[in-house]
Amino acid sequence: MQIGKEQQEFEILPTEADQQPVAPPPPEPQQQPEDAPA
Amino acid sequence: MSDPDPGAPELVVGAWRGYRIWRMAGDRLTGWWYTGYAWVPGGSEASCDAKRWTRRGRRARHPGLPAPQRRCRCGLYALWEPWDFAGYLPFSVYGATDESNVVIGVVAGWGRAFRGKHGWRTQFARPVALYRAPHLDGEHVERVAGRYGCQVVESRSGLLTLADQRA
Repeated sequence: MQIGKEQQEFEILPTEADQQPVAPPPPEPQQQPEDAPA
Repeated sequence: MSDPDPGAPELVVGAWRGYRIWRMAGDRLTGWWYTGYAWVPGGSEASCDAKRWTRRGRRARHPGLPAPQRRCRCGLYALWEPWDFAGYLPFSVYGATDESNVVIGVVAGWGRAFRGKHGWRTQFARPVALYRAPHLDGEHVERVAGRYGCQVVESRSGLLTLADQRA
């Protein structure tokens, strides 16, 4: 990917929101114990 | 009082947003260009495996220094304005010739950063949204987005809105 020859240097401080997931993770499916009776 | 270092990077607050493509490999997002690097949910950190020739053979280009560096191409990349299209997403802009399993999305980047006319490269980045293009398996895109905690958008306008937002 070409972003251009002339490049300026920065230090970006993320906000707290920057590092939060945008969408919540899907719920984990409930696991049945392997030895549970059918 | 001393003058600020003119060579020091400019300090900014708030992650940058841009566009990029990933390849979907199973439930993972990997890089497209010459790399199978798998992105990490929550935020990926750039590393550099570039080499230079020395009298002692090949050595790391900037050992001990974090990516990205000025005299290197390392970093996690994104573009400011990826397209000029009417109703379709131009994979050719990104150099993608095989569209299967390739997904376009919005990415947020922070940490060390270099900004160019067409985009940026940063030390840290994470996917913000994935575009469910008509040719892709929608359930697959949903599954990958769930793994990375990012949104799925159905349209150009959805991506544009998210790219314009600060997180």
